[in-house]
Amino acid sequence: MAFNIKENLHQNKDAWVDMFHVLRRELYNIFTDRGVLIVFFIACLVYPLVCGYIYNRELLYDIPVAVVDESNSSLSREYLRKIDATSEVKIQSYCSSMEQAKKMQSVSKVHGIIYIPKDFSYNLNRGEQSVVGVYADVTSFFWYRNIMLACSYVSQSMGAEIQVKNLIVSGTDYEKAVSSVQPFKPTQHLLYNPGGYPSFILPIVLILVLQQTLLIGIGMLTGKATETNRLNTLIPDNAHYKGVFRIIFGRALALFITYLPIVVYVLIIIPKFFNLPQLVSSPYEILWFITPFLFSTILLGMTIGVFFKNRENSIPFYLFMSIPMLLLSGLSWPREAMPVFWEWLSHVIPSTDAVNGFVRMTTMGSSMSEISKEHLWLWILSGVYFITTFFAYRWRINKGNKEISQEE
Amino acid sequence: MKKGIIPVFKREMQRMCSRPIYIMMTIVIPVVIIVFFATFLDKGVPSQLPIAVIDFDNTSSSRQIVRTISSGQVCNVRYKLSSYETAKNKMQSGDIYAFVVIPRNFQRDVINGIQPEVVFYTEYAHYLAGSLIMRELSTTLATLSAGVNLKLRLAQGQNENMAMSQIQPIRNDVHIIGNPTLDYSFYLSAIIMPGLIFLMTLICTIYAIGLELKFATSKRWLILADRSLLKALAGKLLPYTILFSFMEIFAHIVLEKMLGFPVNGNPVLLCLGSILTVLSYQAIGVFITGCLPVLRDALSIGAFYGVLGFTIAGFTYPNLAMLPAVQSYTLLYPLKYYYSLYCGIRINGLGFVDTWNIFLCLMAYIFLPLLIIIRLKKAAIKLNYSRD
Repeated sequence: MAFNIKENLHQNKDAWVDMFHVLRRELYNIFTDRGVLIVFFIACLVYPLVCGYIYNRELLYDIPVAVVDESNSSLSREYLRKIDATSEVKIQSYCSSMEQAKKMQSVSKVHGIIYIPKDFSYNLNRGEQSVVGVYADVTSFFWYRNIMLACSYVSQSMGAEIQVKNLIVSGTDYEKAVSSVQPFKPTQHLLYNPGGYPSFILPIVLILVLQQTLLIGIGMLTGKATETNRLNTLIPDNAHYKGVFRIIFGRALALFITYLPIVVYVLIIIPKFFNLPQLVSSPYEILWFITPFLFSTILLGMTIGVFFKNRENSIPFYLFMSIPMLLLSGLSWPREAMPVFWEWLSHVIPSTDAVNGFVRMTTMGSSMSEISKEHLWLWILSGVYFITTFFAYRWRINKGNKEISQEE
Repeated sequence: MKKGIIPVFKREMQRMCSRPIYIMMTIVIPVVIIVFFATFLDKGVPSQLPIAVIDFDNTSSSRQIVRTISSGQVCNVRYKLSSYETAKNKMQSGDIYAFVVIPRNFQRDVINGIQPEVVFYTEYAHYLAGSLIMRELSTTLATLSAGVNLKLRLAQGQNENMAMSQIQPIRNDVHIIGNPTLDYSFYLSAIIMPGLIFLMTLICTIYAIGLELKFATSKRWLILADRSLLKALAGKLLPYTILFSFMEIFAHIVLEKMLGFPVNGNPVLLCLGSILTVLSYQAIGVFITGCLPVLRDALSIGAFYGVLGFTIAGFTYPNLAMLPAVQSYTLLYPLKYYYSLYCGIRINGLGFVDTWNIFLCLMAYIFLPLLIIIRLKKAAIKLNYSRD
């Protein structure tokens, strides 16, 4: 009996020794492979900087539009002056006809047309409704957005002024006129992310950069192992590489340790540098939240990695997924509008829940309990991908052993 | 043995069929991309986005507001809450995108002409959902407010036509040129879907040439092409030009037939533009491999360059909002020209007369490999770069 316990202890000690041996060796593999170093360190260092630099100017203002003013009255000129004064659009040119304006729009000199009909001020003066034609260029959502914002703001405010004036003329006192024009006031408040599009997209990009570089790098490492090991096996011919658990833990930990400083740079330093919203109370919360994301990504990469026979194959395989993954995260295209199949599939990708949790944490200041759903799911994913990695590795190792015994 | 472009072409076809990764890059991935965009953005316009309402008034007027908001297309009033804190908590947990607060004594204040405020809070961390809800709520509430105004006027004995024009003196008649239904999927997939296939063209080109260098087969490849690198490149890349051009045209057919995207202009001209863009991306692929004749390095640089194109080409976010220095980097991307070509032909219906300069720019990329041809040939013969 005593002997057994001793044996057990001995084996346990072996497991630790083996695991640390694997860990050391994997770290060595990572830091001696130029390709992997480029993907892990250079890409993660440079890509967030370049993206932040591209989106540097933040707000989109003064979209060029053309106007066709057939009314040419003091009221129409007032309307256009107000349009020009908005920050959203600027009047690039005054055209004499719609044809001329459309010509300018079709060659992208302007991105919208505002058409004021002949009877504009005639109708207004008679107390009838005037219609202003607004034509927005479809080539970007932002043209439509800015032109709509400017025109509806000016039409509403000028309309209200005209109403108040008419009421005062007909004998109503000023205060009563104002309140009867607008019996209640709708007021809008934008919560979170005052920076608009750039500070919306950057946090998503940051998480995706971490995920994609990890997946590509792991693919490179396993592809390289398959290429260089004797008889193209996944696992090197080494006494310490026995026991699937030891290998998986050793590899995953080596990658995790490598990525910790990268995470600090990408998710903590870069957002500070570009002044992204930082409502999270402590950077440790980010690290604690991102830990299961790292593990699930690493283990997912290790599972898929067993299929790579060449080190270069991981770039073609993973690269195109970056943009579909961005859409699947549900931040740019609302989750409610996704087909059920894609919604379901999106949760298989670690970045989906990581992006949602990270953005809510930093941009909206959500507490750990408010993002516990995402956090828990990432831990579950880590568990699931651990199991898949186990089976994938066992399959590859058995296959490798068979090939070796055949050879012998 | 016969030498020249055709034998190289045949050899390349054999190489393609012998490695599954080629089938993956040229057929499986483009088809996955097309299927993804065709199905993912199926619904076109997001609807039923969850929001909450806090009704402190709870009168017939305030309930009317809640009913009107939920009857709209965009918002779905999923929660009726009783405090600002719970609403904020729901928002931070990701359950709602917005909430509306109707103040105490709302109805009484409206009747007494005190002009109460109805405040709505939208979050902008979900940019598209936030924008949509903001637009929807502000028009719905403005209409409701005007409706009360209308009721008062009708009660005063004004006739309805008169009253209607009185409450909204200026109305906007909005048209979107080329996209009458305001289908948001258009903004996302019209360029990204072809763009991803161009990205695969670039990667595949680098891969196909780099693999020759990596496995030291480049000498045989050159000899088969009569020792002319241009012939060797032409024969080698032609299968991919054909395959990827076919995929681009297929992508357009899917976009237009299945998703109903605009079909103005001459389709042949657009096909020509797509083929030219495929060729320019191949030329850039050759250029990158020539600069860095090591497969893995060239692939990394190509990946970095290619992915950045989606940010920089200006269809996800307008170039107008970028720094002037960044705007000039768009010159590096054929995707930018493809984007203007697509808009010009498919949306604005321009002919060759108005787009020839874009064609010319795309053609300029094709001469890019001439800059590195000597270096690449040397590398192919001497194999003087690391190959592990």
